[in-house]
Order: sequence, then C-alpha cells, then structure tokens
Amino acid sequence: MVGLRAFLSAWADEEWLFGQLLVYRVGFYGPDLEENIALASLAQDELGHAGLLADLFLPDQKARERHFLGRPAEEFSACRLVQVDLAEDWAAFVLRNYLYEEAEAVRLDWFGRAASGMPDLVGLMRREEAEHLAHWRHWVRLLAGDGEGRRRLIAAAGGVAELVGDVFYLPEGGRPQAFDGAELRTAWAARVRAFFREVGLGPELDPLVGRLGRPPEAAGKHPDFFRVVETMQSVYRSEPEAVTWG
Amino acid sequence: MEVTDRAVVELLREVEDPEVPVSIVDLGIVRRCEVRGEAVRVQLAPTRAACPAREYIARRVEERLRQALGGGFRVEVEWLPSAAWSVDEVSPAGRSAFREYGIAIPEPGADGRRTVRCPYCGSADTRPVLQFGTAVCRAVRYCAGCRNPFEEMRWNEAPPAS
Repeated sequence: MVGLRAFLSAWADEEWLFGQLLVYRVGFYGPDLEENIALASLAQDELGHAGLLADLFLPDQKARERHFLGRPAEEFSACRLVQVDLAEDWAAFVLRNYLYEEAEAVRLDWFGRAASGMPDLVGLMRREEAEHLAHWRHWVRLLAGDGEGRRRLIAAAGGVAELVGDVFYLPEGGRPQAFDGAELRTAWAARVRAFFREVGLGPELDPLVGRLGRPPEAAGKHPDFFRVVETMQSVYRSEPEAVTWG
Repeated sequence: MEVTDRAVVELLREVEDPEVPVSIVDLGIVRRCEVRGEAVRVQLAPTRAACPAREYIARRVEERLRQALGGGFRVEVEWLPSAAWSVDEVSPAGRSAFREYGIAIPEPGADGRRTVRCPYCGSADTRPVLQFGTAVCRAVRYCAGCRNPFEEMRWNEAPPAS
C-alpha cells in the first residue's frame, strides 16, 4: 500500500510518545497508588504497540531503540495531542488521554479494514486498546459525575481543543490512498459526542467536539514538544550503548 | 535424537517463562515448531504486545535448541503478534504451576462466564479489585473465602463492540 510506511511511522511515533507521557505522569504521583500502577501498565502497553508497529519497518531492537530514543524531535511525526505532557492538570490529562484512545479505536478500525496482507496486529492491539479506552472513559465518567471534577473537565476542554487539529493529518504524498483523515475525524467526533452525552457532558464541550469533526490540518511542533522529547531521550542519550541486545 | 517438530516442542518444555516457573509450552505461547533440514523455526505468540520477556525467551529458546541439537542447526525464533494468546492456551500443568505460584488462571464456564478460584484456598467466591497488577499481564482480585488478595492473569479476550 503506497504511503503505508509514513502512516505506520507516524502511528508508531504517537504510540511511543503517548506511552512515554503516561509513564512520565507516574513521577508526579497520584491521584492514588492504584492509578500510578495503572499508568505504568497502560504506558507499557503503548510502548509495546509502538514496538510492534516499528517492527514492520525497522530491522531489529537496536534500530528501534535508535529510532525512538536517538532521533531529534524535529523528525517525529506525531499529532499535537501527544506532544505535551499535561502532567500537572489531572482533568486535562484525563481528557487528552480519553480523546486519544477514542481516536485510536477509529484508527484501528480503519487499519483493520484497509491493510489486507499486512501482519495482523489489529486483533492484539484492539483488545489491549479497548482496555485503555475503558479506563479513560471510566475516569471521564468519574470526573463528570462530580461537581469539582466536572468543573475542571470543562475548564480543561479549551486548552485540549487547541491540540486536536492535526489528529489524522498526514501530508500529501505521505498517506495511504485509502486514508481519509476527514472521514476518520467525523467518526471520532461522533464517538466522543455520544459518550459525552452519556456521561452528562453536554453543550459545554460542544466547541471541543466541533473541533474534532473538522478536517485535519497541519499544525507543526508544539513549543513544549522539544522539552518533552529531550526529557524522554535524556537517559538513553547519556549512554546510547549501555544496553546491548542479543 | 531424531529432530522432529514434536521433538523440538519437547525440548522447549525446559524453557521457562522468566517471571513464573512454567514452561513456555505449558504457557501456551509456542505456536509452531518446524524443522527443515538443518534449520529449526519456532513461532511464538506474545501474551501481550508489551511483554518485556520476548527477547529473553527468544534467547533461551535459541540456547536450548543449539545445546540439544548441536551447532550445525540454524535456529530462528519469530514472534507472531497476530497469533492471539489467551489464558485458555495455558495447559492443565501450566495452570497447576500458576496456582502453586499464587496466580489464578480464569476458568471458562459453560455459560460463557469465567470462574476465578483463589490459588490459596480454592474458593470461587472472588471478586475483581484492580484491573492492573504487578505486571502488565496481571490483575488483582480478592478472595472472600480466605480474605486474601491475589493476582490473576488478565484474560486477553476480545472486548464487547465499542
């Protein structure tokens, strides 16, 4: 499939970044011990997915290590939704993670239909991502059902809305022919709208949902992204040959 | 020793998972062993995408087979993410090993529901407590019988349609 390499590479980058953002949050502790444990497992799953995807276009473990930990931030292809940590605002963190997992469900559905002949990653990833989506839906439901939590979710929505514009964006010449980012975003918006209604999040979040439904646009790197990547790569870069494989 | 596919599987009974003392054969992750001339190909299914033991297990498989078959054999280990693993792949011997270790394996029931028995007292009166445990493949339950928490292997079943 023409353009598939770019699609897989961007997807792998997003999974890797998202996994790193989850585990980064563990260092901030709370809201409770059990959530820290959950974040570590969720993060590990996401990093595993990034590895599965990378295995489709990288030759070995060492190459994968260099790809994620040794590349400069400029070379990553990832949506802004996973370029910022949001670690200090739990409501924003939950909202971002929920939106990303709903987008992931849409992406997995598309890949499962479109990528015939490719190694079937979708089954394994879909089972695991379904657990992740359930987890973040649970958190949105918890916060939406609490006065203070609901207020914080609504307050966070404006900032998170600024990060959603380039989800499913792939540049011309770098996307599979059957990939329609606008169509995927429409599906994404529909899923989120339905869930928000279900948990009683109504008109206050309509502007956010409206942004999800617009066609994807190129956004460039978020100003915070370079610091985020530097943090994630700092240990590896201090001693790139510290870990040997095989 | 005649090197057959089946003989290779038997050799792999000596390769254990690094976290739980159960062979990878009883764990149910050995999908296929194929001997072609002086080449052996072993295909394994990961329990989860992020299983951190994949490289370790692959090395142990290569070492065991080279040790048993001699240096003339070429050993190739391949992980198949599409080869869906579930707790139902664990053999009866594997289930005993897990239980001995203190980890429960959910048992399928005729009605489609699963029973999770406490590995300490055997009670079926257990309930889920935490979706995530000490490893990415485990969750935490509580036994109302003996009042102990314990871990279970996560089910890896297809979720209901979202």
